[in-house]
Amino acid sequence: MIPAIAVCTVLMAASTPWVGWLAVPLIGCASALVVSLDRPALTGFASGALAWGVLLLWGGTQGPVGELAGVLGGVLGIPSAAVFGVTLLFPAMLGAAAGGFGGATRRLVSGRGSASGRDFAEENVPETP
Amino acid sequence: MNSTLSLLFWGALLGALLYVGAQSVGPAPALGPFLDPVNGVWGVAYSAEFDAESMAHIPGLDGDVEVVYDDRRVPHIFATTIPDAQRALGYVVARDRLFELEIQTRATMGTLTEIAGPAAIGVDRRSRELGLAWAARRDFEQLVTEMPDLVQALEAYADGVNAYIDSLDPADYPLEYHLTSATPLRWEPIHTLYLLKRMGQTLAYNGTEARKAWIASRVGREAADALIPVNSPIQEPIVPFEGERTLASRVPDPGEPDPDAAIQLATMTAFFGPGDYGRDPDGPIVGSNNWAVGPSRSATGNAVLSGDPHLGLTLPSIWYEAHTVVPGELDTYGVTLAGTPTIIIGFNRDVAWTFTNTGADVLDLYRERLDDPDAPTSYMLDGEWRPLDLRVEEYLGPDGDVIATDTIRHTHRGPIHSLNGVPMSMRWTVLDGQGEVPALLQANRATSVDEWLDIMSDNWYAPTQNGLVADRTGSIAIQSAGAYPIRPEATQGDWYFDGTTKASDWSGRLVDVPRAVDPEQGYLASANQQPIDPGASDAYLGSDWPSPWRALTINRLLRSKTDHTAADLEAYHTHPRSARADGFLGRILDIADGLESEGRLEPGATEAVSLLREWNLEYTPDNTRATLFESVFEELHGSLWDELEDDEGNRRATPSSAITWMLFDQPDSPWWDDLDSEMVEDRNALVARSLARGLADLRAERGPEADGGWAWGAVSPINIDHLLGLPALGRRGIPITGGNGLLSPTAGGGTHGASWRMVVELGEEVVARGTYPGGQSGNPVSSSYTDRLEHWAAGELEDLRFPRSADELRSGDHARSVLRLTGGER
Repeated sequence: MIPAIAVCTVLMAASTPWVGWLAVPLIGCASALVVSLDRPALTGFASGALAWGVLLLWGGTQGPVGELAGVLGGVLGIPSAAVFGVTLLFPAMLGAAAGGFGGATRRLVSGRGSASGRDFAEENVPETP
Repeated sequence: MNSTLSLLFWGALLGALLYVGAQSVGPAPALGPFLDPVNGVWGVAYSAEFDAESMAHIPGLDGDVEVVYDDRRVPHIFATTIPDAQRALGYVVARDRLFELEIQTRATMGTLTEIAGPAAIGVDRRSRELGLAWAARRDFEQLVTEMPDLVQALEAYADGVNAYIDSLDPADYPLEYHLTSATPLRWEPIHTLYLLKRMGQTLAYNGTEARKAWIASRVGREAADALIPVNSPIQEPIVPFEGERTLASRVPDPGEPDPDAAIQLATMTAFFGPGDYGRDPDGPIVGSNNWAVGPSRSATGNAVLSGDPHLGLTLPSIWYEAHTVVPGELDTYGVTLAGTPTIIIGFNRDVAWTFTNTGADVLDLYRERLDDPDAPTSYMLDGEWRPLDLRVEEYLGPDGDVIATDTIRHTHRGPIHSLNGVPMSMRWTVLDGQGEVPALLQANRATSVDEWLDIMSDNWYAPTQNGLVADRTGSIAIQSAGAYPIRPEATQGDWYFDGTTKASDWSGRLVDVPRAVDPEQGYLASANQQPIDPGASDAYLGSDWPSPWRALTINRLLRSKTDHTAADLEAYHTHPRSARADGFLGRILDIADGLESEGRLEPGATEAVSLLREWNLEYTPDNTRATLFESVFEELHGSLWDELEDDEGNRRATPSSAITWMLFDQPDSPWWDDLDSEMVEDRNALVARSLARGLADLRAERGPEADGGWAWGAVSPINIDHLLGLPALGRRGIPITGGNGLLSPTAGGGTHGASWRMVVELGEEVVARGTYPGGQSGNPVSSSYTDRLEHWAAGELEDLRFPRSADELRSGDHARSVLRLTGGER
């Protein structure tokens, strides 16, 4: 799973400057559709957060990102750490949902039911009676 | 979980997140593009500082332009033609202040709803009712045919602003655009006129009629005329006057309410807003100071000029510092209003100039007669019905949908308001014409005081301004420039006129405006006081002038010696004493002495007197007795003018403290009586009570003096809000030396103050220092957002670099970054 996360992270980070925020769900979904990932939602979750985290780290070399987080936190009425948190959580959630969606689609199309896709989220979804 | 259910679950979650990511909800931006670490709000951090070297393209440039930013982020623009300098100025101002450009323009146009939605419709409605944008559009059409050179300057500036906008990716947008999901508005040449109309509103929208009507509705016309007088009871005019002075002798007693004034009041209030000067005797004055010394008062023999305009303080500041150079044609340094293609206050190699607001009465109201009170189409003029002009105003929401429509009606004088069956129209010089841009464009290149004065006389229209100018020959001059209406004989503009006759109309503008050149006294100063002594001219220029405390202070300082240095003039900006406190404290203590000797002073008042005797009369941040004096004075003033309050305790007009000064000579006047008490107070009783209560109130509110809560800097700080009022982007609670009536004022709850301080010595080489509260950048995370604030609060100015060439700036190690602008096809 780690190689898959690494590849997705690189793809998401590299395409975000060109595609924008939609790069995360697009890459998350496409990777789960094309490749049979063990845990597509978890892969998308980790990749989304890591990709934008890497981009924010790069941003830190370009300008006062920490100070901006403080200003945004002041405007929004939240701590600056929460601004970073939301910036990482949002792509993580997007990546997870897109990965989960892509993985489920792949399973449905390939007719393999739920066998191929054990997923951290699925474990928490109650069985349909 | 089966595959279909899994697909539905993940699909629903993805759909919800995509919706949240793409859809803005109310004023909140869409989360996806907002949080994007490359293209979203984080880009604000990446553009906080300029690269050491950068290049940009402005279509239509005549030649290459080099812009060198110095160590204070001031752009020095080196161009080969004046239009190129204007294009570059537009570019650099947009680079630092793009959102400011837009918000000010929209505020005048009345299109804030297009960003903020229906929440902003009240502000927009007010702008459109006033007709600022309507008048600017009419002026611009006139300029196109009559002054094509001026239009070319406005177009050049717009080219520069738009070139910057075109160069931006969404990530480069200023923070405010990210927060409001807006995109930058393209700059049109007319936007400059919008901005100047707005400045006219700030400086010349004078509601004397409404204040006087309020007072008349409470205590009658005779008292109102005395409390809102045409001539200031304390004369310290701008134009030096040595003749015999005729001052008002006494304040008449409160009279019976004037029912006519009460009827007019609602409509007048519709024009001017409710207004409530509360307990601030001289109101939130948008005032200013300027002063200059000639060779006879200067240590070096050079003329030295000081500029100190006071305005509402914002972040970013209203001012932007710049230097424009076109060899042989233009070499001007100073501050520009973001949106104008020229320096407003500044200097060149020969001349320095600055302005204060004259505060003249350039607006009149006319009681009209309409054919139909509900849906009028005509108004009566000299016995005939004349059609009203209709102006339909549509207000759009952020999505371009029409959210409201208004119909504004005009007579030949201006827009109409009608409340309680009282229709009134307004005539106002700010809506009548313009001449400020041509005046300033030419003034930037003036080479002598005389030339500068002629330019102002020939061009300046509104708002009326006290233009102070000095040149390298040592000449100094001041002129209250602009259009002063000539009203019907034996009338003044502080009451409404009969609108049914043309005989009420203005018949022209005054030709002889107040002016002084190289006076014998060797100095000139203005601080918004009455410009000319009534003994020298009986022309009506206005009324209800601000009390001349600042003028008295600066004139006293300038008279005090004959060897003023530039450093002296710099120090005067934050002179810690006020003529107001100096005068009133002496009178209060004299009265207290008398009462004490008679054993009539209660213990609380005795203690207050004792504390005030120890006061050094300074308003420095750590001073505690200044706070006590202001508490006592507030108590006195509030009780004194209680006759002007309505049943709910509202007082929508308060006489200036100069009237209070005059009333001190009438110890038995009924004005001194506190209507809320059972006894009948005279002056002495009210003074004694104010001393005791002022001290008690202060202790109740801020604890004992020893606890530190009385420190003047904490009680009366400067508060600088962001343009959108976002607390995280403003700076509040800044302690300064200053206060009501001081040369450095802190009026309006600390939101108004010294907006630009400048001292220029015009020797063989021009040497200048200056600063303003804030910084050049509008980016809140830039090191230049508030880098000047500390110096400004301390009353310190900074050296202004005035190089003749880019190389000179580099050789002095003051160059920090370079922007090269190149031209090409449009």
